[in-house]
Amino acid sequence: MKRFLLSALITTLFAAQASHGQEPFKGGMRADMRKSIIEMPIKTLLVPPKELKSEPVSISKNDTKKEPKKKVRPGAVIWYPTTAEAKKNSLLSGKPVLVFHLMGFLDDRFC
Amino acid sequence: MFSNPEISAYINQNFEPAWESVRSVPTITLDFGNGQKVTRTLHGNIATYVCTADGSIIDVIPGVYEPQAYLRQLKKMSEASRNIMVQSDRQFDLISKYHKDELARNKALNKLMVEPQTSVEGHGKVELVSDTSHNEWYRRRQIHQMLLKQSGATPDSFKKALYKHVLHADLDDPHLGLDKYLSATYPFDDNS
Repeated sequence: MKRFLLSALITTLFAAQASHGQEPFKGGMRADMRKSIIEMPIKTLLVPPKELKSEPVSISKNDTKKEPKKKVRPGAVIWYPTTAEAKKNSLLSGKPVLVFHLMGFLDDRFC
Repeated sequence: MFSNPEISAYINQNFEPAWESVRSVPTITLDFGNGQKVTRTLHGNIATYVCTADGSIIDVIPGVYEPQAYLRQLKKMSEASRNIMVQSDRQFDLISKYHKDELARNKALNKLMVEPQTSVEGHGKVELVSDTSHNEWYRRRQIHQMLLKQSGATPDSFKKALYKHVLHADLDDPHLGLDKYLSATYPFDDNS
């Protein structure tokens, strides 16, 4: 009885799918799809000219627009503002001068 | 590096520190076109000079270092500097002797002795350790040789030679020597 009910249910399902023009799933994947599902109608692909937006493109070798540089704390070292001041204090303390050279600025985000 | 508490504390206690910019740093910005931009430095390089009170260079730490190696160098240079600075009348002779001794020590080193023996992990760590090794093994040797010939050099008088010959960034070149790489595969003639 159970077997009869199960086969009746499967038959009904197949019949319902066939009526919608679809093939049943095979191995968990749809065997085929209708063309209209894959392809979009041409009228939705073509944008009327009045709706096209174009923006002027400018290419400049020397772009002068610069974003403001973000300042950061230059580590936990207590720096003198100039090497001259560090040298002056070195004479008094007897400690050597440490001069750190870099490209960019130590208190900039990118240095 | 200067955010490292051990390094910053050591500098604050043992040196009179100042920093100077030798030029602006080139940066590159990737604009993904969706509002997302990523900016990175392209070719920055650094140098740490240890000098006497009159500004004469005693030694230089070139480029980037792994923090503990950087601290070791600072300690070594601080000690050497104090010995040199207390005998100010013999300063240049002592600096010259220091470079001769360091050069002999560097030449006696086998490269494997400079390279790290421990494994390193983490983003950028391998490159940093490799840079440290190269700086210690090769660049410092160059510096000792150059400073032996330029007694009394100051950071200001030495920086161009250091950046050009040791750090490979010509400060007089507006493109820092990168132009040939940037233009090598660029197909358009922007000048026409």
